[in-house]
Amino acid sequence: MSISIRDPASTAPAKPSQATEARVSRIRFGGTIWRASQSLMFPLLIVLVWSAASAQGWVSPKILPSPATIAGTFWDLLAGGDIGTNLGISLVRVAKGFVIGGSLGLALGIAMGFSRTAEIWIGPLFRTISQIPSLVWIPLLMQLFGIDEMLKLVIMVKACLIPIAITSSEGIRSIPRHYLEVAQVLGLSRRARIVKIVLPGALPSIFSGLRQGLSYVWVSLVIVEMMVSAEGIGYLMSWGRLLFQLDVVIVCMILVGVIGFSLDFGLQRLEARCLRWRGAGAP
Amino acid sequence: MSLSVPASWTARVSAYASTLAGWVSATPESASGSSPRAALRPPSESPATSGRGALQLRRVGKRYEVDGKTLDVLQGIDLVVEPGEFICLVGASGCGKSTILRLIVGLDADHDGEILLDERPIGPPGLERGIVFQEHRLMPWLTVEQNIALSLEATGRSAAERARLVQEHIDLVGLTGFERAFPRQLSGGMAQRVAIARGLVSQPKILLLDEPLGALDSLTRLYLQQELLGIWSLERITMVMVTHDVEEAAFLSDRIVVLSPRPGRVRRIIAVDLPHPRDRGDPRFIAIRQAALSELSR
Repeated sequence: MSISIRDPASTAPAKPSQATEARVSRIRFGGTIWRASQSLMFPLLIVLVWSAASAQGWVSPKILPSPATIAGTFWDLLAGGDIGTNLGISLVRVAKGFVIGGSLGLALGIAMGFSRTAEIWIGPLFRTISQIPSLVWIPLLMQLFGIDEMLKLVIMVKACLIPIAITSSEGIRSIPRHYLEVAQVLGLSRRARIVKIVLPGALPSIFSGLRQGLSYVWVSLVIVEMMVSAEGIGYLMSWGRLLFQLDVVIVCMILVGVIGFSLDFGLQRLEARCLRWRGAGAP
Repeated sequence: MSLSVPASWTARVSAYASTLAGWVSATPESASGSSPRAALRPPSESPATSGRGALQLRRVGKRYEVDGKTLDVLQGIDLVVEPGEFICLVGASGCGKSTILRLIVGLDADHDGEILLDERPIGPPGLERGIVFQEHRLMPWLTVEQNIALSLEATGRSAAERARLVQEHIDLVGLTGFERAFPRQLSGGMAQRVAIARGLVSQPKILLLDEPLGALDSLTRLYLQQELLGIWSLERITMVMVTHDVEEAAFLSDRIVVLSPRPGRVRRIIAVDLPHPRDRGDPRFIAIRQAALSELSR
């Protein structure tokens, strides 16, 4: 008797046809629009309630201006160039802070990930410093760096360097031993091991560090600009507060939120591109 | 039962049949027909040039220190594996069979006794010893071809040569068309084929297999057993496989090495003197399987 085993379905799945792929991409595109419109439901509801509250006079417009006023103010600030100028300045600052802080953080994180000595020397210090809010540093750093661009840069670098260094070093150190054994068995050079195994394996952690770092950079910049600055979106906000123009404050708040969301969304898209191997269903 | 089979697969399976048949020099009718041997071409520079490894284990022992006490894992393992031989190590869990492979491949250099490959003591891990682990251990961020090419990183080969070898081995394990797939897109059986290709592509003298089929469903497992035999007969490479499945050992190997646990020792070596392809219903096959089983449960 001979059993003929030919091709268990599990070992040779059919490749998706082009038609299926086209359908899948249509569904995905439709899904994006559907998801986006779902995400807008709650904000719309809030605006509706808010409008009703203003129209009915439940709150004084001095305390909470109506959405229509906010929209008008937004338009005025945009047309007058206030938003463009200040936002531009803030975004350039964020770019500088994130690029410098991010590179330093990555370099340190890689050093801490590969070298136990580096981790022992600076790891605990970093973890301690990361517990001190950026805001608390401002008075001290003002003494050291004055109130100019340097102060903002230092605060932003500090804000993102540490989370990026910590998460990337942890990502590097948590590469499964199984994979490192494969590298050993295949006789990989140190360089090949780092480039082909350790860094790609740590990339998910590195990305979560970068996203966290970018969001810290943005938040801390807004705070510094509110406290010590003559320009930038945070300055615009504090200027509105001084003049008791709550509509300006609210416009700025919404802008800060939307910009922060967009920055993170950009990194998230980049992450999804770089980590395609995890697939769509991955966290 | 009707399964649709891609044409390339049928060609490959019949090519296996013909190589197996030619090798056993029996049932010539199965070798006839329109199955050209060229359908399954052995990767170039194989057996004849690379040479098959002869492995010798002399009084090999391994112990761990646990809470200040010495725990013997392996004791006095003597084993000679002839060039081109297929050996299976079977034993209850905890008998140190995987440890033997880790010692041979060089992941653990701290042991007693000697391990020789072609008369020379083995050093740190090297490409002359390939290994396939129970878990496929493919890098999830590398495609099938990149994973296999990882094995050629440390060789001085040109990019074109690497690409050619990788493609040949993808074809060998029947994954043509899946070169750019990521491991998550593969079934367990397919992933293990990639791992086998990665183990073979550097053309080692000996391939160590640590329960490579242990985690697969039974149908895939039976299929891959035949594939392994086909690959072995083509590459003529020395293979040492750890398994806990006595029938698998009887189906594949030239000799079954039965290990006894705590400390791991060679209890008995059973020669499997049956031609391939083996019939699992053959009384002689059953007798060998039973002999190994009774040694295990002794």
